[in-house]
Amino acid sequence: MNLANRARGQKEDGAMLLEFALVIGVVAAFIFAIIDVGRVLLIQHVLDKATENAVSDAKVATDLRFDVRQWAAVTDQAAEDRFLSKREAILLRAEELALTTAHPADSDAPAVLSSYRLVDDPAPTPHHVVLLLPGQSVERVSRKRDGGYERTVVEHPTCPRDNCVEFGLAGGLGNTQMLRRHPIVAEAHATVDTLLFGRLTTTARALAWMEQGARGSGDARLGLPEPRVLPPPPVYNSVPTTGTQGASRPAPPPPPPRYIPG
Amino acid sequence: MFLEAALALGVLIIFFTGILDIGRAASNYFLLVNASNEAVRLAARTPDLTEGVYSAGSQQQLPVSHQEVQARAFEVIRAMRTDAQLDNVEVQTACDPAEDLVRVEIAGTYRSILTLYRGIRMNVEQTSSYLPAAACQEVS
Repeated sequence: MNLANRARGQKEDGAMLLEFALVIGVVAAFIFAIIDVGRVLLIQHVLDKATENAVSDAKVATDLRFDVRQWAAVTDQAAEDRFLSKREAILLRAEELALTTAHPADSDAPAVLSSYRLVDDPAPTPHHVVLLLPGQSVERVSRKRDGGYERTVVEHPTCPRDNCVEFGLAGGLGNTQMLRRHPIVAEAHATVDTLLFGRLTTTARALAWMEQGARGSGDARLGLPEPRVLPPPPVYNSVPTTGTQGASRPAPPPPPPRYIPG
Repeated sequence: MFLEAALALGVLIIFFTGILDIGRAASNYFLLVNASNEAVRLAARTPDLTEGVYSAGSQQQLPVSHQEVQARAFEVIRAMRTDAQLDNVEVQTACDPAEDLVRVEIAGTYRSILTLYRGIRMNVEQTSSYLPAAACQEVS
């Protein structure tokens, strides 16, 4: 090999190295981006599941039919206590799933859940999942992009606290009608620290309408109609069976009564 | 080399925008699925649905029971996503006494980023058996 060829070969080696460096940079960024997106999607999925659990519990809980407008002048303390304890149970169950993946106390956790505090609530316990009933609003405390914390007021999407026609009507719609017209909303929010995109936020929101004739107790006391109970269907056991003893088959236990909306 | 890079970059940008667009379209599609799911649940539990097929915004008179079901579908779309990229959303509800079924159909046009396939029409249909001991109400 003469000197000119050797020099050309060295030049090509350098070009190859440069191309490799460029390509490896792009490929590495691509792979990190996939990892980041995967992490955000994981957190989003967990929050989706937590909020769906919360609303699916809430929509069949008659104790949640307590009229939050009564907080100014409580007329039924027992109903309010049942409401608060039921809501606490639902939120704790929903949070359990989210907290297994993202814990606010861990500094190296994949995500940090934001906390919520209901405005004008008699039991303002902060939670990482919130249940918003019509006419309620909530304050969300989340991490900012550049450190520190920010507070955001989240309103009910269809019946905001200060701008809901039905909520403001004195002697207007009852709470049952309110809950039929407007959904129960569950929300969860988290910030995820990513390798490439910095701090990203993700929000999950699920909504459901209160089921009519839901299981539970206290409907009559809260001014709601009791669910109608249908008579059990007839049991066909009159045909004798010829067993070894010649005795007829024992009648099966009666089925549980069926509930249909009142 | 610059020409090659420019060509490749153009193709790549279209490729990634397409991926983003498909993701957004899927998100809007599942919004319609959620809305129809919630609406058909309400329809199945409403005991006095008038028999027949009813569309929101059509000339025919819409029974109150069907209005409530259709309003539920719109409300889900509004409450779940304030920035849904959907145009011309139409809801159709039906109660079929012969099959004892209720049906909700929602259609909407997705506003895409790329103009290559602007105006994708998405259509979702959900059917459910009607509430036990209930029947479609005859048209009076």
